[in-house]
Amino acid sequence: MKRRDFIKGGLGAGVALTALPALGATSARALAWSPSLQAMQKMAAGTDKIFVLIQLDGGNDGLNTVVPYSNQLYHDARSTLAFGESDVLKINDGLGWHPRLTDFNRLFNEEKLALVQGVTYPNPNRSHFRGTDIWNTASDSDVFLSTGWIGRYLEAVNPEFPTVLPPDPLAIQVGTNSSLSFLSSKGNTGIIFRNYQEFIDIASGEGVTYPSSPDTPAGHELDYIRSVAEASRLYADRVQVAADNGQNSPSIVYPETGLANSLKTVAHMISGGLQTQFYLVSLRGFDTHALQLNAHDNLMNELNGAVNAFMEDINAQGFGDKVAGMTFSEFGRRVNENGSQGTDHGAAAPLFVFGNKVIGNTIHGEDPDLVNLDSRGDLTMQFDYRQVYASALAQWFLSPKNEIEQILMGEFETIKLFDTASSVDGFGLASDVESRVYPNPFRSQTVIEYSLPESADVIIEIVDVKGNVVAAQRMGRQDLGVHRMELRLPESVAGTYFYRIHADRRRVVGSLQKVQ
Amino acid sequence: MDRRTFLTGQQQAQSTIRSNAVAWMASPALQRAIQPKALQQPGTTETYSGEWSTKQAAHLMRRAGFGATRAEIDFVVAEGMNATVQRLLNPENGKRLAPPLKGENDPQGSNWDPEGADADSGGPYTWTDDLIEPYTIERQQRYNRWNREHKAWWLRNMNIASVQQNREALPSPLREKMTLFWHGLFVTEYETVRVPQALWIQTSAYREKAFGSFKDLALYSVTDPAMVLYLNTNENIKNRPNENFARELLELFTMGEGNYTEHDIVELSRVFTGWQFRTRTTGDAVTVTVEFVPVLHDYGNKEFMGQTISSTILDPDAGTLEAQQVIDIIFDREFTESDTPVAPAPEYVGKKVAAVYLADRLYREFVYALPDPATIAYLADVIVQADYDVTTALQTLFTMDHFYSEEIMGAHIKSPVEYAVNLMHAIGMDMPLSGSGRQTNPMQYMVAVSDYLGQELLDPPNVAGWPGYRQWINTQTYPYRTLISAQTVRRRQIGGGRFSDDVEFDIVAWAQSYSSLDDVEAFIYDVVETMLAMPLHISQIELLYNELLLGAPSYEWENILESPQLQVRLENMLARLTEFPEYQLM
Repeated sequence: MKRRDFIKGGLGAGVALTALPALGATSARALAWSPSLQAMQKMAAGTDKIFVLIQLDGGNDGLNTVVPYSNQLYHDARSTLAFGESDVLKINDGLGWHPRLTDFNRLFNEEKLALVQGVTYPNPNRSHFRGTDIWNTASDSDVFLSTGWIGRYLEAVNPEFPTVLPPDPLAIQVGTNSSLSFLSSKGNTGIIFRNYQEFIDIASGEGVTYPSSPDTPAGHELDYIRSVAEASRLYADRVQVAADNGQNSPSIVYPETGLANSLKTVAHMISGGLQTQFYLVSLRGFDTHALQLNAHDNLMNELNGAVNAFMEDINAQGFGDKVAGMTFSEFGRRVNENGSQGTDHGAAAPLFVFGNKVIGNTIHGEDPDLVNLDSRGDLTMQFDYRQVYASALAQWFLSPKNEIEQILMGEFETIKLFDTASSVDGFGLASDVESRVYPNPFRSQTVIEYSLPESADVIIEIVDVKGNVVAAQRMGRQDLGVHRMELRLPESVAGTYFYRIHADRRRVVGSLQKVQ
Repeated sequence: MDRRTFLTGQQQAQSTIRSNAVAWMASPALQRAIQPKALQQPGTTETYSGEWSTKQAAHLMRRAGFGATRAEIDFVVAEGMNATVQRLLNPENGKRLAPPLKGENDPQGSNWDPEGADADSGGPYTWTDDLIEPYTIERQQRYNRWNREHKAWWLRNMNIASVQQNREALPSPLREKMTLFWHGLFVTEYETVRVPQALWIQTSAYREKAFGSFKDLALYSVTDPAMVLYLNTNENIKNRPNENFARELLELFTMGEGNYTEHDIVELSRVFTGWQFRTRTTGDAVTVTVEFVPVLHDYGNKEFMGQTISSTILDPDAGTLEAQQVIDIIFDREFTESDTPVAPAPEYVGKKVAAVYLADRLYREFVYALPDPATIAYLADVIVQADYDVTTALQTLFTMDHFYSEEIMGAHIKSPVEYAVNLMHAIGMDMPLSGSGRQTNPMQYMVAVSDYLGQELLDPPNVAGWPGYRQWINTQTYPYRTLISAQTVRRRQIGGGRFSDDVEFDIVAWAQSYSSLDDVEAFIYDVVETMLAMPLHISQIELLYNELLLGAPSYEWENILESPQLQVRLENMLARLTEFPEYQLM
């Protein structure tokens, strides 16, 4: 039974409640569908690129994924688990793919897949949960954040979220357990469903406006639940449209696996025209403490088959060039196998970036160094995982450098992963907006001055070092020329803040220092 | 500036310094949707001495149980706070329940009635003490079915648990809730263990020890059969240590991450070498067990948290003795400012780590998702003074002024199990475990509901248990919740099919359990007060009123009460009530 039928048949037409909506239910909806806002939205996003994250849940064994088959130390460390020269799909004289990664091997050779070796972070954490949180929030290992790196990016490019809900979901997770990565300081930027048809059936319905809620802990939770209710209802309609308009290429056969099904849904949604830029899917079961060989074999097979079918599908439908993806896992595994024909939690591991516009057939970093392990017997870091994120934001999403620093809370050297030079030339994002702050540092008030190369709708936000938007001001439509805004932050604690100026599609980010 | 002003935008004078510019937060409602609200005046740690009426009684029963019927709330109001908390913490009530039975598809299937004539017979047809058979596909299919029966059995016991009952063999609300709490803390997954008898032993142990000592439970976890299978203790043997159990014991079961070193984990895993999962037949007793096998134990000295663990070579008691030693060390460990990746809250410095850990977990489970360090520190002191006795901790918690503070009420998001059981319990619905129609076990529907909403009993997503709180509510689960409740009160499944006649639920009888039924406004007020933890807006009350009267003047209510239309109107009212977002809070 469809939700809307149920409501109509079972309850009679929904009676709208009076008073204030928590999320601007009616107005957001009306605005969301106006073409100008949609266009503005897309421009503000700066790009129509799509990024697909594949989470390998449980800690993937990197050494048995990209195998150093000619290294005797590898064989010494893994008497029952090691792959020999004849088992692997050779990449070069030192490395070979896990025997099941046949299509990864092919995509690599076709220059559609790159490999980044030794990815982790300083002082890696061996806990699944902390490790997963660290990867999702892009924090140092001793910093606890409540927002995800994608959530912070999406709020940086969508200043009105969620006061005005964007016409399409900003991010979609196909799965069941909500990921931290889509959380922004203004709420969850993503929606989640297992199966789009189920989501459509269950979530679509009449709009409701809510009475105002009390400013109590319960009132806050109530507003949270209402915001989910509103997002469900609004986006069920959009997913319905995408499901109707989109398809999977009839010539592609996806394997009958969970991951393949998830990626099949992603391709269907993209094909249906959703402007969603981030998708997250996951594959569970990588925590192979015992009898690893068979289990890992199945996982590699599932990963390989699913990514291959997805790539074929998006290329057959002609939108392959705007889609890229990466795998990630909370940690790699110990070099030495344990006594149970398995491996325990480790640290650095390879990850993969794939897509037509990825600079493929490239290995970033050296072969794993099995001699100089860290104090705990783990592989050492070659790349910080945030370098991969920074590269994706810079090269795939064309995010300006200081914006990336704000999102990732630090400067991370990029790796040349994406071939998007032509788009960069044509875009010139924000380079023609100049800005400065004076005085800086400041005590309680200062002035932000900026110049616009053409007239634009301007919004200015102040963001703290943890990515929380602490203040925002809509400046309205402003003409070409120099503008100033007086900023007062008398209540805020001393420290570093960022200002973010949105001028239609342009964004500029700078920092401010507040002193006591 | 409010949200509307923001949306319409403000035309500002351009290119001049705007002297009137002010920093503003996003609109209050939006801000609330984003951040939980910190407690402002959360009450004290003293014993609560304020008003004791329906509101407080209903709050206690929602948090310390699975909700309450109107009759139960009236009972609790009459009993008073102290007597009710004593009753909920009764050391015998609900301690040992008659086990789940084989379903009709099993050779010895029966419709054995655990409350009826067979109550004390022990039940000949359970599977819980069946021998473990060698693996075959058929065995596993049977085992998987038994596991589902275990889940349905547990949900039903949560549902029929009543504060008014006091017998060892009848379920008790708080004991069932604590059994669920321990299941979510000392986690195993059926998906990995795959032996339902082992899960039965585990949940029975959690039920029996529900109000016992946290320290004893931690020690118990070392030799729990399901745990030994789940966290690879079986593979953890001399010279081939497997760190899995040792790591999780410290990180997730007792201390929290960061209060130990990687070296401690390696050494601790050596301490636990030698424990092996075994099957054994002793008369008609349980056949799954864990034995200590000396030749598989590492008898070398271990350096754990600065202390040396040693034992005599081939001492058959070494496994137990060493486990006791390390548990003592863990439970004596105190917070210092420097030894965690993030400094502990100042309130915790100098306190025992495990006591703070338990206090924090209990607080999140029973009080509020944002931990209040002062209250948790106080509770940790109580726990240490009571040598980790959980009864004392819970008694303190449920009689504390803080617990009954206005700010705490309604601020907890129902877990799927709380949602499903509360839904049934508050309206007096009973789904039996066997049925005459096509639904041979009607409670399996609620098992599916809980699974669908993200909480698979006996199968948490991973060893950290369910993350809970806002994670329960997302674009997948929220629409389902509203649909499920609206259908359930109409005796329908979400697909539209009717519940079997074996499901006991009489909505008119439910309404008649309210003494105010004759006065429609008072009735609605009482229903809302009983079923919701926060007040409704007047416009929402009007909707409920309208479902009952459909525009008729209120003096018509006495005629409606006599009319066959009453049932449908009550159904629509309850459906409407449970569709309000407020219903997801308790």
